[in-house]
Amino acid sequence: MGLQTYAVCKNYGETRALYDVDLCVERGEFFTLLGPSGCGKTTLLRIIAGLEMADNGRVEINGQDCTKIRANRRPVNTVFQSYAMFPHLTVLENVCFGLISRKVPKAEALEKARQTLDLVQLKGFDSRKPDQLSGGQRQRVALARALANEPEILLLDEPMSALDAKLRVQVQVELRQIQQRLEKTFIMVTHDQEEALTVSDRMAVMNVGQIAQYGTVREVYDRPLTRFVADFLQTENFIEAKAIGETEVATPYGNWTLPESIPWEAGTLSVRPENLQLARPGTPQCDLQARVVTNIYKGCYQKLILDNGLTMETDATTILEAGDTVGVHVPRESIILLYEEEIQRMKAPAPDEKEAAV
Amino acid sequence: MKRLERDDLLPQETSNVILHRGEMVRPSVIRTRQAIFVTPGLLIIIFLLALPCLSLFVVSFLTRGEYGDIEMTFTLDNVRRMLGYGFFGWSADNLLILWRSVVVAFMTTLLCILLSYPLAFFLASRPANKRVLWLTVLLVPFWTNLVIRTYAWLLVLDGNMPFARFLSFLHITEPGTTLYPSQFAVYIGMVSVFLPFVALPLYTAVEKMDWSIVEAAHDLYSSPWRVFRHAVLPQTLPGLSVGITMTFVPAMGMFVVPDMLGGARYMLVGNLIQQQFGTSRDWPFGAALSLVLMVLTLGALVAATRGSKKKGAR
Repeated sequence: MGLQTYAVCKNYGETRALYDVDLCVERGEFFTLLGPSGCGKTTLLRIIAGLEMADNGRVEINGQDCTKIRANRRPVNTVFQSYAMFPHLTVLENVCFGLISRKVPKAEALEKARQTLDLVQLKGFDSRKPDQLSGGQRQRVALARALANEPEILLLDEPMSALDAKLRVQVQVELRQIQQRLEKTFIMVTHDQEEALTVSDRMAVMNVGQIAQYGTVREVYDRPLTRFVADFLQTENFIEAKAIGETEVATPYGNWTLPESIPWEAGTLSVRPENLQLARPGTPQCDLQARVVTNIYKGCYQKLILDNGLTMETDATTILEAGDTVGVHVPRESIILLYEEEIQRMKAPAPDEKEAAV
Repeated sequence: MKRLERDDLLPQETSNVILHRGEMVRPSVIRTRQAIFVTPGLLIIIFLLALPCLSLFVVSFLTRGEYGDIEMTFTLDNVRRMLGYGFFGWSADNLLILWRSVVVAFMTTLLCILLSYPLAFFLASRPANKRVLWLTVLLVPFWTNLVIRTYAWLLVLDGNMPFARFLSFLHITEPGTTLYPSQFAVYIGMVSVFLPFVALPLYTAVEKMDWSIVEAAHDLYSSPWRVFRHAVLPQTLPGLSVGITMTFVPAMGMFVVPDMLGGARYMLVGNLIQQQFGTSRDWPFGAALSLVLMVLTLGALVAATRGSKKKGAR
C-alpha cells in the first residue's frame, strides 16, 4: 500500500478547500490529481507532504499513520512548482541537501547526488548556481534533489507549468520513464489533462474540494461519469435527452437506440468530437445533417463547428468550407451517458471494504 | 554648378546627433546636462565632507595652544596620548574607551538583530491593512527628540518606578536602587534607539521572502537551525546588512545615550571626542580621536562585508 487518506477535510476560514477526501494510491504507481485551479488538488498534495495540516481525517503512508508527523520527518519529498532552489548553494549542494540533513556521510551523499543527476540527465552543471541554469535545467535539479533522498512517495506540484510546450512534452515522457525505472510511487498535481494522460497510471479528477471521479486514465477518459469530468476532459458535445424506452432516447437530433439501458428519465448524453463521423447525406449511416459554421484547421485534423451546436473533428483531407452541408454519423457505442453530479460521486472504497475485497 | 551630393540633402546636424533614451540630442547637450545635475552633489561632498575630513587629518597632527587654540606645530603627541602615554605616564584609559566603544556598538547591533528577527516576522505576518498601524507603533519614538527620549529612560529606570521595584521584588536588586548609570541602562538606551534601523530593512526582506524555499528545507529533513541557515538567512541577508551598517556606524560614535545613562565611569569614544571639542578645548586630540573612530568603523564594516560575501559564496 502506498498512500491512503481517509476523510481529509480542510477549510481556509469560510472557504472549503477539501471535503471528505478518501484517496488510495498503490505503491509504485504514477497517480495524478487533475482539476481546475482552486479545486483543492494542491492543498491535498501539501497535506500529504506535511506542509499543511488537515482539519480532519487521516493520512497513511505505507500503512503508517503520518497525520501528526512533521514534514521533515515524513518519508516523502516534493518537487515544488517554483522549484524552490537554495539560491546560495550549487547544483550539487542543492541535490545533497536532504542527505546532509539526515547526516549521511559527505562522500556517500555526493556519490548519491551525482548518480541522481545522471538519472535526470544533467551532467556538467555540478558547480553552477541555480540562477545560472535554464528553466528546464532547474526543473531537473528540483527532481534530482527530491529523488536523491529515495522517498517512499515523490510529490510533484505542477512540475511542468514553467516549461514551454515542446520541452514539457519531452519532460513528461522522461518523467514517466524515470518513474517506471525506479518503480516508485509518484503523485503529481496538474491542471493539464493531456499531461495527466501522458504520465499517469491512474488519476483522480477533483472539483470543489472533492474527488469527482477516479480510476485508470483510460477508464476516466473513456467513461466520464459526470458532466464536470467530461467537460474537463474536453468532451465538447453535450446533448439533453429523454428516455423513451429501455434503451431508446429522444434527442434534439432524433431518436437513438443506445447499446446500454438508460438509468434516468431525462439527462445528458455526451459524444467526443473525434468520435463523430462524416456520412453521405441520405444514406442510413447519416443521423443528421448540418451546415459548417467554422472550420478550424489544426494540421493533422480539422475541427468543424456545426450550426446545430455540435463540434466534430475529422481528418484534414476532406476539403470543407464554412457554409457546406455535411452528413454526420453518431456511432452509438461512443455515446457517453452522464449522471447527475450529486448522485454519482465516485469515492475510494472505505478502508474496511478495501480489506474485505483483498 | 555644383552637383548635389547625398550629404547635402541631410540636415547638417544629423551627423552628430545621437538617440539617447528615446531623445534626439547632440552629445554635448548630454554632457552639459550631466554636469548640471552632478555639480551640486559633488560640491556638497567636497566642501562638507572631503575638506573637513582632510582638515581633521591635518589638525590631528598639530599642537594645542595654551588657550585651547590650534598652533601650527607638527607633533605626534596626540597619537602617543591616544595610546595611553599621558602627562602622568602610561594608562590604559583611552585604549579601554576605544575597545569598550567597539564592544558596545557590536553588542548593540547583535541585540538589535536578535530582537529584530521575531519583530520582522511578526510585522510581515500581520494582515496588510494592520501593518501600517504596527509600523507606526515602531516608528512613534522617532517623532521625539533623542535627548528627550533618553530622559524618559531616566524616569523609567528610577528606583521608585515599577520596573526597578519589580527587579527588587525578584531580589535582583536592593529596594530603591536606581538602575542608572549602568552598563545595563546604556544597552537599553542604545537598543531602543537603533532597533528600528535593523527591524525595518529586515521587515522589507522578510516580506519579499519566497516561503517555498523554507518549505523545501523542511521537506528535505532540515532541523530548525538548518532551515534558518539555508532558507531564511540567505534571503534576508540584504536587509540584514543594511541594518547592520545603519546601526553599527552611528552606535560607534553615539554620545548622548552613554553620557546620560552610563555616567562618567562608562565613557565611550563619542563622549571622549565630545569632551575634547567641548570642555577640554583640545581640538587636535579630538580630531585625532575622530580619525581613529572613522578608521575603526570603516575597518569593521569592510570586515563584515567580506565575511558575509564569503558566507554567501559558500
